[in-house]
Amino acid sequence: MSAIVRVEGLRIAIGAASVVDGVSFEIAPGECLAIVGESGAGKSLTARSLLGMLPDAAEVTADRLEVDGEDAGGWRERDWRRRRGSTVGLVSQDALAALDPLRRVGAEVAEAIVVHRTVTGREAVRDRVVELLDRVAVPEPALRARQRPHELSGGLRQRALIASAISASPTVLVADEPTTALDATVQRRVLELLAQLKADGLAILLVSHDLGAVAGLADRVAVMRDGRFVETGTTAQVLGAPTHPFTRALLAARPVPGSPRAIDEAPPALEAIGLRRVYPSGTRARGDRVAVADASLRVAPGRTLGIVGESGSGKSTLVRMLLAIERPDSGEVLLDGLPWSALSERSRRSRRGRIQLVDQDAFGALNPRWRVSRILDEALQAHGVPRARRAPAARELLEGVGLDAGHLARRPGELSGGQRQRVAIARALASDPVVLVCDEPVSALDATVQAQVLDLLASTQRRLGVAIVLVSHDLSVIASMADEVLVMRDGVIVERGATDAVLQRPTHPFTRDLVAGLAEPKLF
Amino acid sequence: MRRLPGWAAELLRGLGGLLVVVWGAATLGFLAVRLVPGDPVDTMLGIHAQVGEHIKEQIRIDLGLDRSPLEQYLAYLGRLLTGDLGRSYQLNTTVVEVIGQQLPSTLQLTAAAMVLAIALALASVLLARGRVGAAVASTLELVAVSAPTFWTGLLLLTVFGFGLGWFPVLSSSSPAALVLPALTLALPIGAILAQVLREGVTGALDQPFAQTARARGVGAARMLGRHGLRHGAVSAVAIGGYLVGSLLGGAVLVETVFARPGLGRVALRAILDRDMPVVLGLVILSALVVATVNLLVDLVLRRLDPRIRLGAAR
Amino acid sequence: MSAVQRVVMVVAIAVAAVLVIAAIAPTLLWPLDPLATDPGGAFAPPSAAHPFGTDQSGRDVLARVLAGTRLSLGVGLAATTAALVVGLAIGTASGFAGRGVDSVLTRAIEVITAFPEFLLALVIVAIIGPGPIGVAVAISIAAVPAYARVARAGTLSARRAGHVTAARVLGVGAVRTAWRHVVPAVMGPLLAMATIGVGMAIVTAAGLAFLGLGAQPPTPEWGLILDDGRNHLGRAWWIALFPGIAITVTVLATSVIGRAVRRRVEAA
Repeated sequence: MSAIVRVEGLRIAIGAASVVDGVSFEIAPGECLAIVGESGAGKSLTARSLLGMLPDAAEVTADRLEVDGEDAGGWRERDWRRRRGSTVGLVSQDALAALDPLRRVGAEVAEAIVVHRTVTGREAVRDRVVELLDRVAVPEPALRARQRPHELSGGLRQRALIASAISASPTVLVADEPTTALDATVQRRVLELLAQLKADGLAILLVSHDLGAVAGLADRVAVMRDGRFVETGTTAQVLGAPTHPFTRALLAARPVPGSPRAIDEAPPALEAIGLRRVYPSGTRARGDRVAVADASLRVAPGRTLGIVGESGSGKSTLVRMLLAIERPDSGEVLLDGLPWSALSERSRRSRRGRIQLVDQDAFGALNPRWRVSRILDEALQAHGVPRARRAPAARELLEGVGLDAGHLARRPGELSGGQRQRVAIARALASDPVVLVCDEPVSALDATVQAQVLDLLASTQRRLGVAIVLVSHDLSVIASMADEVLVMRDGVIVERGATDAVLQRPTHPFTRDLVAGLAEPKLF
Repeated sequence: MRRLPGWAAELLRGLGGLLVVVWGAATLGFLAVRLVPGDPVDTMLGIHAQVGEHIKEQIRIDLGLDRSPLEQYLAYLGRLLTGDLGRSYQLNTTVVEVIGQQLPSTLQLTAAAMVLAIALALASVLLARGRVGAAVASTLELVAVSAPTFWTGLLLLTVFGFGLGWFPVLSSSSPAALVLPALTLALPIGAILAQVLREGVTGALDQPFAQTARARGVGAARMLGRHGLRHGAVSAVAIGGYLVGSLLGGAVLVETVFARPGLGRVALRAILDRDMPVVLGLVILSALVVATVNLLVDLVLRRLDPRIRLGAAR
Repeated sequence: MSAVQRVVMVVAIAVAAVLVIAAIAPTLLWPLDPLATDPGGAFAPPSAAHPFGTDQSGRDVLARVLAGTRLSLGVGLAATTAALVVGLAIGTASGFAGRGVDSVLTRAIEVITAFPEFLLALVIVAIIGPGPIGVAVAISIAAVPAYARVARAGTLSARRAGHVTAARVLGVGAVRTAWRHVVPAVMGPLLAMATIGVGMAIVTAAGLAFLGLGAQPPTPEWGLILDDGRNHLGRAWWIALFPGIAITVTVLATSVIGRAVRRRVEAA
């Protein structure tokens, strides 16, 4: 089939910097081309050039830019506006932000129809909206159309967003990280939907840093680095037998399930017995919300316990109770075999150093106005290190996480995401903890950096014998590091066991879903 | 109790809050008036009155000033509930009559000013678009907010009243006499409204959903009308209480400048004459007005932006 | 900062400097005596000898406007500083306190906020009695709720910040955490508010004086001069014009400086 999108020699410069440097590709109807690479490589800009939606400061040139068979090279804003939504559609990430929160879902879906007048008459438009929502498998479409975006769950929202993008029947769809902000099970369903649309003849340009999603949907893949395609080919070729070293590095960075480990019987460093936490509902007679119901766990020194669950599963509340910054309604936490949650804050304070936290949001966890030296100093001071020893201790801590003393003078804003997380880890280690609780420590990081940070945690554990509680929604992260895993859903631990056992023979249906999503996606 | 529909429960809670606020204002006012140094009877009669002590005693008993403070307070609250605001010390009528006589004039002025302010704000946001236009509009608005109302009133009076003679210099009940005072009052309010509206609109247009809308082929006009204004309106309505408060405060000054009859004059007279019942009555009235506006604002906001209904839960 | 913004900042700072000089030593800028009357030379329009003209008693208006700076600036600064300190204390206490104390304080502030600031100041002056001190106290009491609200909101959100939780996990005590992590975060917006607040306080003070509730004649005070101007509007428009310009320019300058402070604070 002949290509419906043809781009040759695309160059995008912002100011003096050349962000996209001579990119060429083609997409045929019913075909999906994926562009992968790390953040800042120019993927989004390349994709948006098909919509003419680049920042004002960007200068675009191309030897050829054809969309739906028409030459888009000389198009002005007015021409682009006529094509946006009717010829080319856009699906972006995070539908909560991508849909107008003050308008009804139906109005958002109908907007392209109304603007391009593909259907006229209020009744007809309404019917079409319901039809579209039904097509994207949104149950009770008429009801949902009258609701506002925040009233829908994440998955439904994203599907409604897709409906709004295809409502005026475009022939090309640009999907810019369409599944990034979603939980694993929801991701798969959205990808299935996109595959269906592809089968119906839609040409899709997929931009993603999630190689699993790419493998499931794309026919061809282009790997982008620093504004250029370093490797292109069919999905099987690029993901299965990569030739370029960068592609290989990208693939290798995906966390791989580790070697088999047995459950240890050593006395636990951290133990939780029957924890329960309920949030009263406040106003409506909807009933109280059970955040955590009867959770028990134990971690031995030098071992890693993984807790996997999606947003709303209660894992964050559980973490807060383990750290004793939130009091359980019933149940108890023991640290070093001694009471922990039952104590008053004053009695606890002296032992706080034994259990420390590495949080997902390293930027928020570090005071943005302080330099790294002061951040580490505070931790050392709280641990009782005398003033004279603090500076050398801070340096040692940094070295332990692979940063040199030059970073002491910097502020969090001047560090990269990976460096910030390392500083957070260094601070957590300042008090020589026996337990390190890591709550989504790598979710906000790029793939290659994720692997580095996880390696750091693993080597720290080997070096210091610290017990790690690793919380994540990403089963592959857990699988690469944890000895034992707990699966949480709606506040309940639905499955637990040695990591390999759970991965190979999951019993609970939810776990099976998660594991299915993790599967080495058809790497040939 | 649990089966009340959501909006009814909210309304009840809002009304309850309003009552608390008015009660608080009344109590604080009562306490404050008690703090006024000097004998209230002396204040009422005036410094120069030559009245015998036994007559003063009689007046005290008449006014109930001989009872204990707590009794006075309860009696006071009781009277409030029946709508009795007491009797003016200076003028020979009840406070309610005094206020009632002058209320319509002030109401006219503030209503006209509010309408003008909204019109000015909308015009500014819709017409002054683009970087240069918005910058010019912002500067003009800044000046409008910085210039004191009593000065702009005098300026307008000088230029359009004395100078060009377009509008009457002396106050009267004709609509022409309403123009300059309403415009004076409307300028700073309209300026603030315009700023908030514009911030809300441009803030909204910077967000991801504006990109999505643009990707559907939405043009600038529809973007502003269908998406931007709604978000701007949310911000604007949110400061509704503050704006009404400013209107009331400004009305006092404007009425003085233009020598218009109204509650402003009443308030000023009462303060200078230490006519506490009238002052207290005005205090309660303004608390009631602002609290009611705040309640309405809350209700409207919840309908406009349903995210607010969820509160801080998420 | 663009070139235009830079010019505006320079002008604003220059104006502020002139105001400070006028407040401290007005005769440095213009040598005439603000209180010296000259009945024969009353109602003289602006000229070289009297750039702002003379008023109904023949006093030089320029000298009076300059002399009035001290009172206006003084009242404005005093009232704003007091309001900021008290508001900060109440707000942070409320933000840290348990739910009970917090809701009581919040309710109290809500009640006070039910009043328009100007009217509240008016009523307080009614109780305390007219005069510049009364005006300053009234304005500061009326302004406290706004500062308390911002301080409370800042405290609540700072408490939830990751690094505050981290400090708690590290074992840093509550007071120390508050002082090191929360207060610095809150001070920024408060200072930005205060800079603009000074301007607003000056306008309110002038307004109260205009109504006869502030300083009493013959003290030179911007609002008072404006009141004189009102009484002789048809005959001598210049008496009303210039003090108004002074107020407007002062408020503009404080607003510009205040916005710059706010931008600095938000960027941090």
